Amino acid sequence: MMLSINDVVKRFGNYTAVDHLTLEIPEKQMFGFLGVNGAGKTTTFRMILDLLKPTSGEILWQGRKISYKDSHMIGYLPEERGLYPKLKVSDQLVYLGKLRGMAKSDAKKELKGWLDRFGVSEYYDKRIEELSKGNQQKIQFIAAVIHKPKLLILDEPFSGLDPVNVEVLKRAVIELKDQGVSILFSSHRMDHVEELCEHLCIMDRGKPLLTGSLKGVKGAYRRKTVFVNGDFNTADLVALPGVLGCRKDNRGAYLKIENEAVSQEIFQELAKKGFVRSFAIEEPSLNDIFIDKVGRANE
Amino acid sequence: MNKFWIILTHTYLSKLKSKSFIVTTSIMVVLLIGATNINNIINYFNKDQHDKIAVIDKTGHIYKPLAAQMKKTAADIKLVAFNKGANQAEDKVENGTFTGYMIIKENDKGVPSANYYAMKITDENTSGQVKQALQQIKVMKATQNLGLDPSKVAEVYSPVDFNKTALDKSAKNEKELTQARVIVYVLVLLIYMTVLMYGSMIATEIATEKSSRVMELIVSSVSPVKHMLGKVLAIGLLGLTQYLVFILVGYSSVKAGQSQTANGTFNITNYLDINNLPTETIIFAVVFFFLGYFFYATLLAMIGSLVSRVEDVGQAISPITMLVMATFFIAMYGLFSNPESPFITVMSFIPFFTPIIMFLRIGMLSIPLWEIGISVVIMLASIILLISIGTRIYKGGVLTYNSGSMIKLLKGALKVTKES
Repeated sequence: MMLSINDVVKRFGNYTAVDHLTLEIPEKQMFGFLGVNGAGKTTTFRMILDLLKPTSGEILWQGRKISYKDSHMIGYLPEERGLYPKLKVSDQLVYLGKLRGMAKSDAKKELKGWLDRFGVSEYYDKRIEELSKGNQQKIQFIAAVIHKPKLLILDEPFSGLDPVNVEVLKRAVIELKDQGVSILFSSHRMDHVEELCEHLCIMDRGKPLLTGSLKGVKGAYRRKTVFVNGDFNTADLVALPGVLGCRKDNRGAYLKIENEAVSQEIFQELAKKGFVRSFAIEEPSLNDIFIDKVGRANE
Repeated sequence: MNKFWIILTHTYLSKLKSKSFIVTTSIMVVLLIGATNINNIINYFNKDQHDKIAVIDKTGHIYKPLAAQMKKTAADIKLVAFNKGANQAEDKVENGTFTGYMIIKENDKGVPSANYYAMKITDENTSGQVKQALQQIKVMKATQNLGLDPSKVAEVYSPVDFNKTALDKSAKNEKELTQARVIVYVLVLLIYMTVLMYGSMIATEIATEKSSRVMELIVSSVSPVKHMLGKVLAIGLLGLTQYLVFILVGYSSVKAGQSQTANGTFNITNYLDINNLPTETIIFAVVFFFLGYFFYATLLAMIGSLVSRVEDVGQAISPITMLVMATFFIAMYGLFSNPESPFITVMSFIPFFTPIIMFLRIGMLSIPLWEIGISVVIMLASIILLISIGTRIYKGGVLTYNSGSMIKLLKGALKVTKES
């Protein structure tokens, strides 16, 4: 395990931002932090980066604490984006690269490579304030990865981007993972996490609600949805034992069930009713799991 | 390269290349050249326009000595004897031939008096010169009337010989004191200016990094101590660079001005004998200047890390500028009233005031070395203390974006720090 968070608590006065968080984050994979605003994601990242000290517990990276000596191996995209507005892209990133232990010439070369990749090489000599928000975000992303970090922390990397640029950045992130970079990222967009992460942790008000591999989380989630489309009224199916709810749209009915066994009973029942056009058990999306878990925790 | 040097060189160079720095430096250079050559500039504009004054001498014997006197004291004002009446003289003033005209009369005791007429009487200089010359003539006439020997009169008016001698061998003599006053004055101004200009630059610089949120990226790659000291030193170097430019320009401009007007009235060496400055005083001036700079710079860096918006910097640092101003007034009291008062002595050991007040005492009095030593140690200790407090609240400060009073901000930052 490359990054282990051991029973970490972080309090700000009376407010507990992170409450007994224990995580093992595997190497060379993508790890997703999920949670609503204020769940403690950014505070956890800041503690991993040693910007904040935990109230109790410890965080170890490859068996030791992260310090400024490691800064050349760590990349960080803060949630609050920020660059020097008056500085040219090149000056800016060379400076930030140098602060992460790069040589000037390497930083320039890497920067040019990344700008080419994002199709914005003409920004090399532009000032940050002249760029659009989305393009500033690309530059911010380059600032996090220019020095080829081993551990990359991305706090809401895709927020505020249009779909095209989300794809561009996503591809870059996947490529970095394939090169062996360990990536931690937070999001409240479930689809991104579902698409990118092998492992994840759902946080709610500082507490980890659910941790594990994506498959494990999904497999362990017993509540599934049954999709039914037939030439009959499906309303009375809700009355069956084990059916938790029903949602309808033009395509048919979606029945929430307690566990897979219930689907068999529904199938039997349907057979008596008439012609069934379609019957399917759908895997829960991460979104469903998230809303269900966080929603229930807040009840 | 060490990260401290990266921050130092980056800050220094980007500030040096910034438009605002180049513009302010150029403006100051132009002003400096102007100020050091003010006499030449005034002379240049006045070259062709010697003031001409028509003199209608009703007495018939005052014009000659008056003109002679004027030639001695104010060669740029020309007196012309005018034989026609006042009306004609007035016409000539109106058409610009003369600047003004005057009528000289004499009472029955032979004491002269004059009426001066000009289009405007805002020019105190011209009429004043004439008045002074006439005063001389009056004194001469009056003494003659009394039958006194003019040389005896000169004796009456000559100033008394009053010499002060300090009995304490180590005390400063009058000349040294004047010198010390000038140096202390210069140092006070220098520290005041430096704190105002560069101190606030540091606070603004850090507040800008914070408000543009680039700070989180910076403090995740560099330790706050390095960042803060890098900034403080870089801006200090920037200040020295600017001062160096001013000194070079000022010096060469004074030199050039002097060669043009051999008897130039503006001559700093009249007040300050540069060649005879005691090296001791210079060394202490430099030492206390740097101590003062680092003390105030770290203090202001700390304040800069607490505010969230650049707009709040001015308000946040105003207590500090107030303190520097207070120092200025204390220094003035010490310089011109009583440098030996216990008040001044106590003040010279309080860090905020030490750089200026202790230097004032060094310049004006002869204080034992151990006192200077203690004050330097106090200064160094408080600078180190400020740096350690500063870097501690730095992380807390740059990660919290509260607004409110300085005390509230400080408390908030300290809380974050204590908890981290």
